[in-house]
Amino acid sequence: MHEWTSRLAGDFVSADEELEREFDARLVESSRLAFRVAFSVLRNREDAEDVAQEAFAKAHRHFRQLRDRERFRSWLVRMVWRMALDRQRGDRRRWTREAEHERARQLSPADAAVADERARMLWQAIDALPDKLRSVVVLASIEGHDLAAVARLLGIPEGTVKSRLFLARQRIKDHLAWLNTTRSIAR
Amino acid sequence: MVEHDPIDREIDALLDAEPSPDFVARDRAHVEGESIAPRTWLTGRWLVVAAATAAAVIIVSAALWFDRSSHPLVVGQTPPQSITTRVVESPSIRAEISPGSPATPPPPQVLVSPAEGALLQRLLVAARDARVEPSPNLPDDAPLNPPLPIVIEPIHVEPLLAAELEPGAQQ
Repeated sequence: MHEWTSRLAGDFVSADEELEREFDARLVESSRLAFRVAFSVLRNREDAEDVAQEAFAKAHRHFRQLRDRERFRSWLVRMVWRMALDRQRGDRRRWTREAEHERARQLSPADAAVADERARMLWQAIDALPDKLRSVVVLASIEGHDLAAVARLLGIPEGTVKSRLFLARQRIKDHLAWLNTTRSIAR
Repeated sequence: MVEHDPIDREIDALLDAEPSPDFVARDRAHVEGESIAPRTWLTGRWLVVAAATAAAVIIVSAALWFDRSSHPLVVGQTPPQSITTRVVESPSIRAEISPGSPATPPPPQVLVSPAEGALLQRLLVAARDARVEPSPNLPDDAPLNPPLPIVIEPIHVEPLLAAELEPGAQQ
């Protein structure tokens, strides 16, 4: 009896250890994805890392239901996206555009100003997109324009991803053109 | 893969950010203190199965209870099994069955003479083989014999003689 209970307890311990190892593997392979999704919304490294970390903590608690790799990544992306948007809405005042400042530091003052302006306009155009189009554009960039991967992450058909991406690009271009026009008129 | 648009390169450049080198290590440390939630048995499919089983058990129990209450046991009625046991058992068999149970009172003996027993057995066998009619139908117009008079003979009790008793004998 004692032997049997010891073996059962041992089985539970080894199953938990296996689960922890599995989670660690998911964390390593998905950490960059989670960070970049958060960064695409927040544009601040520190905030993006915080959000990704919170998402991993939540995923760890519910890992039994999310052991499947594709399901895990898809769930993680959705959660990080939502959490990042929540943080962005709740903390707009402190929100700094780190990416723009970093790029500006590597260029001459004149070029940096131009690049900075272009980046600001591009972010503005992306932010103006509805969530459905915005997530496709961001994930396509993060996943190296692998539309099948984007379709798996969002749980939608590849054809839908393709059409949304086309529409999103068109809207970004239109928005940039409109911004350029208004800027030249202002001058 | 899809054909790249010039705008894609600009977006790629915007989103080209990497986490800190110690990001994964910090994530590990953050989740280390927490344990993965145990499997919840009372959710989803398990909850439905448990509810269905409970409902089935309740229905069967209720059906059995109603069935039993519609055939109540009459108080004082002896179960037929005990009657059979009493008739069939003989002292020798009883001794074999329960040799070491002195606390159990012996059942009353049915005294049947061997001749009566043999006759009864023969009657039962004949009735089983349809050689005799167990309940003959008498014709309706058959005359009824007058009942025999009941004669009760007086009982004579002889008085005891006091002289025949020994002195100091207890009655």
